Amino acid sequence: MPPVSADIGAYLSRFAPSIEVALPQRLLTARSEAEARLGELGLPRRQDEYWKYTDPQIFLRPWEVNPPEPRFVPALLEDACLVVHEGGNFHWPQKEPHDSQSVRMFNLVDAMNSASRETIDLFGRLEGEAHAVIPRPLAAANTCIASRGLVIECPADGQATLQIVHRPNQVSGESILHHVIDVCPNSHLRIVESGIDSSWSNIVFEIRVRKGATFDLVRAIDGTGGAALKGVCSVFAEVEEDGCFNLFNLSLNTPWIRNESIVKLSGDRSQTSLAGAVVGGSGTHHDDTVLIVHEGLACQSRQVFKKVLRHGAQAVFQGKILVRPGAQKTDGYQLSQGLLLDGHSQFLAKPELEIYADDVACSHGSTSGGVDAAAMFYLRSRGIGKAEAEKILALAFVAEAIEEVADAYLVEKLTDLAASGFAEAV
Amino acid sequence: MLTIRNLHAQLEDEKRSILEGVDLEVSAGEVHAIMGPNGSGKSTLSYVLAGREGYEVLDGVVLLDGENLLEMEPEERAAAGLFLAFQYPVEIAGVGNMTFLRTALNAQRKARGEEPVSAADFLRLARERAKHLGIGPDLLRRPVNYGFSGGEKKRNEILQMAVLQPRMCILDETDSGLDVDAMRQVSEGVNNLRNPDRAIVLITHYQRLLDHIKPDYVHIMAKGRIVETGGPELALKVETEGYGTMTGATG
Repeated sequence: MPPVSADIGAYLSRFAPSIEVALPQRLLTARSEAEARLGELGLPRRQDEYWKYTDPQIFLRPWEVNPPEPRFVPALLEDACLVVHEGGNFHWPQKEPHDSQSVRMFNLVDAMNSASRETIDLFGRLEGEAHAVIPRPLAAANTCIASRGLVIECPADGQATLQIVHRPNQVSGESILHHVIDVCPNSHLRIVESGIDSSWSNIVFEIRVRKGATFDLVRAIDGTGGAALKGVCSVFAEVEEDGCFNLFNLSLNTPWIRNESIVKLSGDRSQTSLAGAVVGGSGTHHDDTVLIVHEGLACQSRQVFKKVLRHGAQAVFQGKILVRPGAQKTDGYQLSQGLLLDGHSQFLAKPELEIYADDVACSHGSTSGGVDAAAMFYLRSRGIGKAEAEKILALAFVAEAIEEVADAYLVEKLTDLAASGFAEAV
Repeated sequence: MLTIRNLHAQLEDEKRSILEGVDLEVSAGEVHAIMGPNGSGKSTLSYVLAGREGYEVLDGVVLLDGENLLEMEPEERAAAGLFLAFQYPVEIAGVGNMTFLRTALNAQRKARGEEPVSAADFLRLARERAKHLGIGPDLLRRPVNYGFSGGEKKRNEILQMAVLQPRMCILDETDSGLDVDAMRQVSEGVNNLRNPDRAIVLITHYQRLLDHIKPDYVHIMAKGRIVETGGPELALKVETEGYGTMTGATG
């Protein structure tokens, strides 16, 4: 194991006091392996290829002044099994009426001894494998210290919908959550996640979508009202034959967010849709960094990211489609667009295609621009005031990303949330 | 109702003069047609009246019911009763046609100090007006003008007019791109809106629209001015003789 450098040591040492309980050996083993990885990777630096537009120090340092609690986002789904996260512990009804046979859930430490070995083996594995293409050292750092998170198994042919609600929690340090989700063959799991627990967070999802299964993950974070919020969320997903993984992120006025997603389409005919809608206001910086690796035959991937920016907001999109040799009949689509409502806001986009197969269709498009003057005049000529017209056009702009979510009810709820975030932002 | 005196305007960027002294008086209950060759300033006149950015008014006065129209924002002009049916209605993806129209109606009502119309009342009103124009529920649900055919877009303009009930309507080449059936439907829609309190200005290239909507006055516009005014017979003269003799051009 390479020696841990002084800066990594300093970063990790901050978390030592929060580990109070005796941890299972499996977790400790995975942690020490992650520590070795992190030693090799080093903490991210500004000169790293994928950190040019976002300063990694933001996520490595605590807030200088104790920040207020983040904004509570209520459940978007009312008829789903409700999972409440409070102070690092996840609670759910033990005898819930919703498909109780279909899903098994554990807090991370309990899962080490209770969840199936196949599921637990995912912990640290998908994160560990991902660095070969694009290093994700903050995710490795998470695995080094994680003791909290959810482990979810959706058994074969099962169906379940979970609504996770985070209760804001005033913690002095960084909130580290590490989730492992195993979606077994031909099952369908939906998770809707509302809010975030802490003003400083590092979250990892390790996800396996097995043969013929579908997993929809929808996340909504609201920083409207001046909440101090900084967090990195790394999603690692592996999708097997005929599987499908859909991820949607809504971020409203969140000061510092970096969403890193790596999806490996390993099985033939597997699919993924990654989408994000952002409303950015004063002092916000939102970064989506995506890698989709096509390995199987005839796989499809979609990326749709739309960001409305004003009052000097900054947003970043780095999206790469990597088509491995032999991944013939790949169909890849990528769209990233910034709508700039003033001259101070900035949208930085870096679309990339790297293709090693010859029978492939991949397209990417990236635009940034202001409001369409013709549309603006049309709305105003019908009596709609300038501010309202701008709001209508901004929401219409992000609608294309929100509509990537298949469920019409959720689309409506997310649209309402985006509208309130747009209206309330300073 | 609408008074235009000596209106001069130019394109802001190009500093190119387009309107060079337009005079027009339109009273309540009247229908006026403005005809003229390409480039005579007809569409510019409609944009200047509606308050589109990019045009600079150099001189002149425009009054709507005695109020100075040129000092108002576009939405204030709409609330004051002005409506422009666009030659090229704008497609707006992601905004539902009904949501847009209800927002517009209630914004105008609010500006006039009136109570908003409830969703249910609005839906009844819009459906009833749409039915007369041959607009099905599908078109009402779709995004504003998005993917509409040329005829559907023009009918959608008339639907907006029928719902918003403006007092001063300007129709900019509403007949362009319409087949005979659509022309009939659109014209019926406009004729249904004729009443003693409302005035209509039709901007058109062709006399055929005036077979369906009978104007009280016909004006010929050329080189940024109204050069001749008459009754419906003037439109017939244009049809047979062209604009040449009236505008001073040949051919």
